[in-house]
Amino acid sequence: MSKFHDKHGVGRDDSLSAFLDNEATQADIEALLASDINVLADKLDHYAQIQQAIQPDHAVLIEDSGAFLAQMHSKLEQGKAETNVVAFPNQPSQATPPAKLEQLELPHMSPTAHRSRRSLFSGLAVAASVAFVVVLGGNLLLQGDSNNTTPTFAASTAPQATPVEPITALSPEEALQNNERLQNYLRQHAQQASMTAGQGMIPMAKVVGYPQGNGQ
Amino acid sequence: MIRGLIMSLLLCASSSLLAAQTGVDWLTRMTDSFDTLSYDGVFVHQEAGMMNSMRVRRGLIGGVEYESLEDLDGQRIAVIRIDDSVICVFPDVGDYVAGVTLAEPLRRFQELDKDRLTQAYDIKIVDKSQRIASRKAVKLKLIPKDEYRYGHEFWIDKSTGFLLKHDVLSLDHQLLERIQFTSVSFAPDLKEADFTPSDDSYTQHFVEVEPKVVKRNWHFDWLPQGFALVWQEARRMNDSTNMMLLSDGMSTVSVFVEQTDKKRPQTIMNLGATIAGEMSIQVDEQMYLLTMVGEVPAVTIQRLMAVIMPGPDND
Repeated sequence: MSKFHDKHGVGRDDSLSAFLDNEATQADIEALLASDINVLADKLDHYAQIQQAIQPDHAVLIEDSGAFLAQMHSKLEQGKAETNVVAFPNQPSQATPPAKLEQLELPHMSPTAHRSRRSLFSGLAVAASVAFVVVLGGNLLLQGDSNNTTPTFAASTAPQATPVEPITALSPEEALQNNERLQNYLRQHAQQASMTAGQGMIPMAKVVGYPQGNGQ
Repeated sequence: MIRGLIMSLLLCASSSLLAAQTGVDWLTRMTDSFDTLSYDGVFVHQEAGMMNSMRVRRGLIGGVEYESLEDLDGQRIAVIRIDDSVICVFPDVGDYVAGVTLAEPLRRFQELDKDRLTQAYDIKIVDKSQRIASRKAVKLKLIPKDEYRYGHEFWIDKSTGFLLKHDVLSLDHQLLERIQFTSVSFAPDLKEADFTPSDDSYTQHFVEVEPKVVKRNWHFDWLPQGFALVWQEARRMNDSTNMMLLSDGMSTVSVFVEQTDKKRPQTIMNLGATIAGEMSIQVDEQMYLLTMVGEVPAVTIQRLMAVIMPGPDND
C-alpha cells in the first residue's frame, strides 16, 4: 500500500534539474532524450507554478514548456556529441555550482535497500510506507541566497519567504531516519487534522492508510 | 384549532429546513452527521497518484458507540473504536512495531468554526442535483480567498447531510486529493461481531490519554487570514519534541519543534496535497529543527517558516 510514488521517476527529475542548472552530464542528456516530452512538460509546468506561487513578481521560468522541450530535444539531438549542453547559455556562471533539485531517495524505493530497511526495523510494514519527495530544496526556482548560514531570528515581521539552502545529500541511514521522523509527524498531523477541521474522511483515511509502525 | 397548530408547526419545520440551505449550514450538517448517523460505507481515497479503498462503519449497539475504519487494500489494517477504547488491528504481529502511538484516530470532529471559515473561503452551493453513490447530493465549493490554502469541493447527501465526495484542488484547479463513496447505507445492521477482530489478527489496544500541555515557546509574526493557533499552549510529543497546530477551520498546519544538535538545510517536500517543510533554527546556543506539515500550498509553509519566532505571543 505504498502511498507515494514519484510519478516522474527519480532519474528524470534529477536530469531535468541538472539540465536547468547547467549541470547536465551526458547521462542526464540521454535520460532526457529517452523521456516522454509530455511528462517533462508537466514537470516544468509544475516547477513554474511553484516558482510563481513563491515569487509572483519574478518572471515566469518557462512560458511554453511544450515548445521549450521540443526545442530542447531538437538541440540535444543535434549536439549530442557535445558535452557542455546547457539550458540557459547566457546565464552568468556562478562561483559555486547551484544546488540541484534533489529527490530524497529512500531506501525502500530500491529493491536492495528494501532488505536493509526490514532488517533495521524488523517487522515494519514496508509496503505501507510513505515518503515525501523534496520539491524545493535548492535555488533552482527560489533563487535563494547562496550563504549557508543557519537562519537566525531577526526582528522582521514581513512575511517574506525564507532563504532556501541547498539540499545536501543524506546518507541512506540519515534518509531512513528522516523518513521515519516525517512519517511519525504525518500521522500525528493527520490525527489532529481529523479532529480540528471539517474535512470529513480525508484525515481519517490518512491515519489508517499511513504506516502504523514507526520504529521510534 | 388543532389543525391550525399542526399547520403552524409544519410551517416552522419547513422554514427551518429551508434555513439549513446555505453553504455553511450544509457544512455544519456534514460535520454533525459523522457522529450522529449510523452508516456502513465503502469509499476510495486518492492521493499522490495512488488510490486506496476503505470501509467505514458506525453505529450504536446496546447504547455503546462503535466505529471502525478498515483499509480494504494491501495489509487490511483496521482501527476500531468502541466508546473511548481504540483497537488497532494488524493482519499479523509482524506488521506492528512497538512504540506506535495511535491516539484518538476516530474521535469526533470539533465544532465547525464558521467565522474562521468564512474569513478564508467563499462558500457556495453550486449544484443541487448531483448524484454520488446512487444518492442525491448537493455540491458545495469552498473557494480560497488567497493563495495560502487549497480549494475544496464537497458533495453532501441531500437527505442525511453525509459527505459523499470531497475534492481538494490546487490554486490552478488541479485535483490533489479525493475521497469518494462508492456505496453507503444509513440503516446498517451492525452487530458487535462486526467490530471484533479475527482470531488470527494482531490487535493493539490504545487508551485515550490527556495530551501533555507544555509552554509554547514560539509564535508567528504573521499568519494567513483566518489561520489561528488551535491550542494556546503546545503539546508534548516526546522528550525532545513539542507540537503546535494552526487551522483556518478547514486546512491545518502542524508545527513540530525539536531540539537538535545538527544543522539541517531548509527543505520543502510534498505528498499529494500535503506539504512538509523543515529547517534548522538557532536560538542562543541551542539548535532546533522545525518541521511543518499541512494541506496547504508550499508558499504557505515557506512563509510560516519565515515568520516563526521564539516567544509565546499569538494570544
